[in-house]
Amino acid sequence: MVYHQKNKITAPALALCLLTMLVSCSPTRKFTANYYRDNDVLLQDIRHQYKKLYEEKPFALEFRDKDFKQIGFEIMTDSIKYIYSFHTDQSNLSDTLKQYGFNEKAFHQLISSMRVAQCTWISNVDYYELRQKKQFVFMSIRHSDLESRFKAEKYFTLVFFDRPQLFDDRRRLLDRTDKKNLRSINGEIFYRINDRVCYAFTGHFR
Amino acid sequence: MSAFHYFSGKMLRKKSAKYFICLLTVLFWFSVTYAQSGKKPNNTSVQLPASQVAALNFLDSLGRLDTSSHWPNVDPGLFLENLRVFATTPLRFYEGKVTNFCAYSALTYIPLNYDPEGFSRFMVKLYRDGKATMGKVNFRPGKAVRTEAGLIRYKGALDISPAGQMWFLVLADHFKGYLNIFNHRFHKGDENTLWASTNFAKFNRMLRRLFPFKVHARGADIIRPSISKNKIYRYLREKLEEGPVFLYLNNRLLYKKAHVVARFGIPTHYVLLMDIYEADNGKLNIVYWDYGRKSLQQVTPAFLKKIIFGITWCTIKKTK
Repeated sequence: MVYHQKNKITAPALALCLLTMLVSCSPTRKFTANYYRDNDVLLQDIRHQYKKLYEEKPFALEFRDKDFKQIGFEIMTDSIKYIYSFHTDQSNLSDTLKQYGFNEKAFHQLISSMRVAQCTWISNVDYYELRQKKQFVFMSIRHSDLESRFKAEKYFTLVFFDRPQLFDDRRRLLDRTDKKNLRSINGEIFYRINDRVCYAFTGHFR
Repeated sequence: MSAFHYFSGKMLRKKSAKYFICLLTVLFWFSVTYAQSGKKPNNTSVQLPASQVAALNFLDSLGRLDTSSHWPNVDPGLFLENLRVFATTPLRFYEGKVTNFCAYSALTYIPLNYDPEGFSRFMVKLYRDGKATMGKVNFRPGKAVRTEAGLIRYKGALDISPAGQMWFLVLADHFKGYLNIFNHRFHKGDENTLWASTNFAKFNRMLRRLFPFKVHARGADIIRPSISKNKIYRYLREKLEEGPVFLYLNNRLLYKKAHVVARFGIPTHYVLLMDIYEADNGKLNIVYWDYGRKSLQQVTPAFLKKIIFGITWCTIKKTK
C-alpha cells in the first residue's frame, strides 16, 4: 500500500519536472517575434552590406567564438575556395582584404554589425526553381536566450529571399514551383516571418 | 528611301552597281558567319585533353536520347547535358547539400579524370538499358532507386543533375557496408540517412571493384592511422606522387557547423586530397576537393593528424 502511494506521488512529479524542462528548453515563438521586431532594421542592413560586398567577390563569414573576435573567412573564386581564420584585430585580415580587393571599411562595418546582431554566420546560398539558379542570404544568430544546460545549442537561422515566397496555413515555407511541397533548406523546415523572410531553430549554424 | 529601292529600277547606274555587288558580298559573308556561330561548337577545336574530347565526341554522336522507361523521371536532354558538364569540368561534380553522397562523389574523380569517355558510355548504357557494367560490377538498380533519380530536390546544383542523382543512387543501392545494415532498402529521403552512408572498408571495396587501380589504405572507422604529426606531411606528400589520395575525415572539425566541442571524434566525410605543402609559419596548406570545388585551408600538423581517420591511395596496376 505504501509502495503504491509513493508511486502516485512520484509519477506526476516526474512528469511535471520533465514538462518544465522541455518547456524551458524549447525556443519560443516569443523569441522569434521579439528578436526580429527589435533587430529588423539591423538585420536588413547586414543583408544589404553583405550583398554589396558579395557582388565584388563571393565570400562567407563566420564568427568562431562567443566573444565575436575570431572569424572564419571563406573566399570563393571560380576554381577554388580559400578558407582563412583571423582575429578581427589582426593585420593579416587587412592584408588579405587588400589582396582580394575588398572594400576594407565596408568589410569592417559588416563585422561590427554582425557582432551587434550576434550573427555568427552569413552566406549566399544557391537554390533552383524550374532549373533556374537563384540565391538567398542565409544568416545564423547565436543568442544567449537559445542556450540551454540540458540541450545542445540552437541557432536562430534566417533566410532572406529576394522575392515573395509561398507559405502554407501553418506558416511553413512552400516550394514556389509546385505550391504544395515544403521547401527544406539544409534539411530543415522554415517558418514565415514575412513574405520574404523565414526562420528556423537549427542545431547547425551553416 | 530603302537600300533596295535605291538600287533597283532605272536609277541603277554603273557606279552604284559596283557598290551593290560589294554590299551583297558583305551581307553574304555576314550571313555565313552568323549561321556558323549558331552551330554547336566544334569540340575538337577547343583546347581540351584528348580523353575529354573523346567523351564529347561520343556524346555528340548520340544526337538525341529517347526517354528511358527505366528512368521515368530523368529528362534525356538534361541527362546528356549533365554528362557533357561532367566530361569537361570534372571538378564541378557535386554531391548535393546535406546528403551522404560524399564518398561516391570523391571516388567519381577517378572515372571523370582518367576515363570520361568510359564513364559517359557507362551512364548512357545504364540510362538506355537500366543496367550496365563498370569494372567488376554489374549494376542492376532496383525500381525504387530508378524512380527516384531525377526527383531529389533542395540539394543545390544536384537538383538539376539527374545524371549525378542516378550515379549516386546506383552506387548506394549496390554497395553495402555495416552502416547500411539497419537501412538496407531505399525509401524516399534516404539520401540523407544511413542508407547512403559509407564506412571506410566499403569505400575501399568500391574503388577496388570499380576501377583498374591498385588500392592501398591505412586507418579505420574509429582508429586513426598511426602516423605521427611530424611525419604526416611527408607521408601524404609521398602518396600524392604515386596517384590519387582520398582522406576519410572528421568533418565536424574541418567544416565546423556548431560551436559544441566534440568529445568523440568520428569520421563522416571523404575528400580527394589534391595538394599539400608547407607554409612559412610551420603550418600545412592542404588543397582538397569536395562539394564541387577545390578548397585551400591552412592547418597545423597536429590538427591534420587529429581529423584524418583513413588514407586511401591508388596506384596503376602493373600488367605482365
